Amino acid sequence: MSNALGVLRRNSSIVLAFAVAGALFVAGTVQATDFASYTHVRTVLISASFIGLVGFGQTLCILTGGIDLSIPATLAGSAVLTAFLANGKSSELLWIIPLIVGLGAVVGLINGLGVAYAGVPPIIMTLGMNSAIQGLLLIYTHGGFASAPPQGLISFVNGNTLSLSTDLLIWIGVAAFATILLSASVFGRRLYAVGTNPVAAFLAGVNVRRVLLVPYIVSAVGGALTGVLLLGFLGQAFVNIGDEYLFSSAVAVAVGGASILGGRGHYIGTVAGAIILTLIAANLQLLSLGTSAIQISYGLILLTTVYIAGLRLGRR
Amino acid sequence: MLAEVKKAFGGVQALRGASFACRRGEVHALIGENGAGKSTLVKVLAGAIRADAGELSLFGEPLRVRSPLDAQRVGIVTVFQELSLIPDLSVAGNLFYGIEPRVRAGRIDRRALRRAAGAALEELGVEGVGANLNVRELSLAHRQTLEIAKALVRRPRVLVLDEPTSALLPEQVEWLFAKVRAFAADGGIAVFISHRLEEIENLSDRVTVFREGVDVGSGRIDEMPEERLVELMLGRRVERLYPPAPEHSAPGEVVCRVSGLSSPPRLRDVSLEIRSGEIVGIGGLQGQGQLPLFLALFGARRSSGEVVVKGRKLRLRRPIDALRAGVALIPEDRATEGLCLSLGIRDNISLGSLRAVSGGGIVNPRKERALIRRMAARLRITMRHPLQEASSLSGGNQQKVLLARVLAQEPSVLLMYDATRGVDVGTKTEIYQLMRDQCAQGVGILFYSTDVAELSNIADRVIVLHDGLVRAHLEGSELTEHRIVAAAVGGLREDVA
Amino acid sequence: MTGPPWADSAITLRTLRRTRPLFRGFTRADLPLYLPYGYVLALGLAIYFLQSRLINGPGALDARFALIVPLALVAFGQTLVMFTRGIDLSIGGLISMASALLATHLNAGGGLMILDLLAILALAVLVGALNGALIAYTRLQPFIVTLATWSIWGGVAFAILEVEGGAPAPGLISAVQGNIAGVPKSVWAVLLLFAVWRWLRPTRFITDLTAIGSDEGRARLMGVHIVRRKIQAYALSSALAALAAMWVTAQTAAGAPNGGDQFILSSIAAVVLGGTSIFGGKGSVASSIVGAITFLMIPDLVFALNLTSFWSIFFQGLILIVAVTLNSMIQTRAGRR
Repeated sequence: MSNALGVLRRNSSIVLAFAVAGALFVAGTVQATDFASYTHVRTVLISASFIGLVGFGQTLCILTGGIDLSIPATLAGSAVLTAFLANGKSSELLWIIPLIVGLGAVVGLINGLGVAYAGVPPIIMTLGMNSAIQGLLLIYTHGGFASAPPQGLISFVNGNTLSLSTDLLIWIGVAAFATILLSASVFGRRLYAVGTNPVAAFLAGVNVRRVLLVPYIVSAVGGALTGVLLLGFLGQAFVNIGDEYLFSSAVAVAVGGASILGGRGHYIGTVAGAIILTLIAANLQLLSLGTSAIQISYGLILLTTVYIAGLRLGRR
Repeated sequence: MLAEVKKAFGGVQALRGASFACRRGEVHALIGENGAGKSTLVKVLAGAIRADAGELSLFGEPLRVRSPLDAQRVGIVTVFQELSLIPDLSVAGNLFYGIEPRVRAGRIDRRALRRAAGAALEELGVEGVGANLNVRELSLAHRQTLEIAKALVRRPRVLVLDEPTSALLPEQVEWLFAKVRAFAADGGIAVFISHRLEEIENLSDRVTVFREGVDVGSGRIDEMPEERLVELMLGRRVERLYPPAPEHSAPGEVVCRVSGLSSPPRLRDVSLEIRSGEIVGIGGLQGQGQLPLFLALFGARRSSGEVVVKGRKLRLRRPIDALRAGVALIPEDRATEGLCLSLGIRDNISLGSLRAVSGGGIVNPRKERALIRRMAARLRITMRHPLQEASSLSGGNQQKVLLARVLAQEPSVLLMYDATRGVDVGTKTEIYQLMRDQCAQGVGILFYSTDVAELSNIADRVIVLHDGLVRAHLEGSELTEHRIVAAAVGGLREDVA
Repeated sequence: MTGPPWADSAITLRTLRRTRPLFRGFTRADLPLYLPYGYVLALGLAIYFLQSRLINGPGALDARFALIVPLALVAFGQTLVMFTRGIDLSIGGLISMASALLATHLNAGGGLMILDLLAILALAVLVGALNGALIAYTRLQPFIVTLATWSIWGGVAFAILEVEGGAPAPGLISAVQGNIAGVPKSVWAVLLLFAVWRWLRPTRFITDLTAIGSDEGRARLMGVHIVRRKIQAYALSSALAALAAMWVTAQTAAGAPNGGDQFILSSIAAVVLGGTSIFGGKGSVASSIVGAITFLMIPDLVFALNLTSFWSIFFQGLILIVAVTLNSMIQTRAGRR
């Protein structure tokens, strides 16, 4: 019992994040009765899943004190490229998806090498990468116009597996994998150590640079695969498909209780963060406030959460 | 000037009502061992940190020094041990920072600045420092001279010098002393901090001795013979329990042989041997190459020379190379270099042994728990729960967690860099016992400490470093506190073997 | 903890190699500051030989400089912020917001218009001072604070103006067009920026900013008022960004509620190409302006090579990556971190 309480106390920010998500849900239900309906809840969770899926790599980056701003381009790049290459034929996906994963890995590797080995500030490295990928995508697809995605992909993403939306099932799988990686794996231990105190980790024999490299690869590959799912979900691809995930992925991680200075946080928090952001958007919509209000709220939330996190760290 | 100050950092009381008084026209020396609180006092005087309690007064008026700007305004200028020069600025820019000649509409007349700097450097007799050079391009000795010149051009009322001579050549020291004497003769107040007794005797009029955050004695320098100063510095300590050295069986074989190790600029050429079951102490003033020596041996700093452990020559590029060969390091500052404080005790202890407690990349909780339990028992770590944050432990327990991580790797050579600093007496005794236990198991220990009593009681022999070279090698009957201090400060030269 | 976390990476434990001066007062770390002049020369020659009308055709000069002015303005402010080892992402949102305001809320002309412009400038100063105060007082990292304010002001821009359009006052549009003494106003504007930098460079303000970036702790010991200087730097960056917004809105005769975002990448690229150290303490606004000119020559080169314009998006990203990697490697080599 005391053990369970201890776990809660240590992860109080994650518990708080879920509490906030619950409160937002209640707020929405008070305003509109069908807010709590099965279909709406499902829609909210599916919207959250895309933030959550790109949020996995972003969580790892932020845990090392970095950030990945190239997510919009990897997401859009993979969505547009997949639709472009498949040209409506589902069978083509068999070779396209491995290719997309490979390209994502290359992007992440370049980001990671710049950050870990050349010492480039992550924000600048990934911002430049975002533009470079966008340029390449436009060049290759002659302006980013792609045909509709293959029907097979659409029905796969929107269909149900084991009476759950496939997309949500994938998110649950990723969350499980992330939890094992962060809580139980050797790599997870090293990741937290590097994020908390790179000098101490170095002197404990951790290969700091190699650990710093991995999050960017995970983020780019994750972004690429999420792009394929998003393509199937939306049934179309366009160049700006990933833009909203620039802020939302980072804000979800921060809201989920991770310290922007690195070393603190967990993917479970990011899951809560993704749900919170989606619920905020849904609530703002009920108040008939549009994208501008969402964007403003993201900024305010980011400022307040990192400020509060800073206060908590300072008190120790 | 009068000062009476208290200051605590976290739980550690750095200054416990330290006070001293000095008069116009006087050079007043502050001496004491490392950690006696001198540097903290300097920082309080400079406004870099605020005292918790106590007061300062200058010429009878109470002083409020809450920021470096305040200090400058009242005329207290400090020459810092770790220098305050801006590396990317020119010599002239640093020399007159904030007091530039001819500033119009916020713009600095660079030509006038350069000319003034050139003139000031010439007037002060500083050689080899061009006004146009970037501070980054200067040698350490020149930077220190510049730092002193920077203080002098500010025409201070009180000049505080915190170990200003550590990097100076003998003729530069002469130059500095002439300047300080002239400054005092003009009615200034000079506060001089040094470890070197001969310098203090040479320069100062009065001296105050600090020990453990309080002043323990004060007087005219000619009434304070060297013997008395050393005695006051060392004090009649709380008797500590040093575990007795075991009845010495013959020293074991050599586990680590270091020859010609150098890592410029601070480590020049050091050769030594560590035998199995032996504690080799490293002494000397601070910054004489001890840190580079330890880092180089651990592969955390580039070096040249040969390191042979158990008959195998090591290629040390990264710490993991040293760790694999059985060389482990306990670093100086457990907060910034040793532990990941916001992580749990468990995570810290197993960080170095993850390979041993995992399979297929996944940590085996059973093996890890066993490791934590074993190490916690061996080091008597008091904790509520293995997941408790390391930062919530006391200093002594944190140090034990660090030791646990290092010892879990089963090293054959243990490098301990000031491992007992900021640790309570009880934990210290436990650490000494632990070192003896390790020795009994055949581990060779290289042990640096700023605490001379500790060195003389724990080490089997002591090597005193000076300027990156071995200055003295003390063992047997020569191994006394007095001799270590004497060899380190360079006084009592005839005693040095 | 001061400074970004990557500043504390394990490399600090390595021996720092001191820079040897190539000649008096000039070290290898200074070299990047002179490189952009070479880039401009090389790219200019390449474009001249491939498509000379891009450079010396009728109206070509004005067309070139009309694009350079806003980027030079933003890069000016970005450089000042980078001197302090910071970064300003919020200019993206701010430029969008100012542009939306200009396209919707600007009086037709005369004194009232000037008052409106001054009000927008004052708003920008306030917004920038807020960035600076948050960074200096809360010790949050500059990138996270300005990322948040970028999002906020970007959102406000969309609330004011939903899609590209609106109608800025004719008075504003005519203010940036035409010639003075036979030379386009845009050219005068860039020359003016160089002159302002020449005037500003020896000020105590700039010295303090570089001291903060070089070593914040020592700058404090030197008596530098850190909080005040940081607020001033970010306020100035915002004010210059607002001027850029005015110029762009007048040039395009329309407001763009997301038009500011591109300036984040381009201003950072201009500064980095200009050789200002991303680790603070060393740099030059003049070099950043030349870096801006270099950056804006990329589309011309792409055009001259008969490639689709998409290539310039790629090259602009690529050049930032390459330049920033070289920049940080040179600075690390030179022993600064």
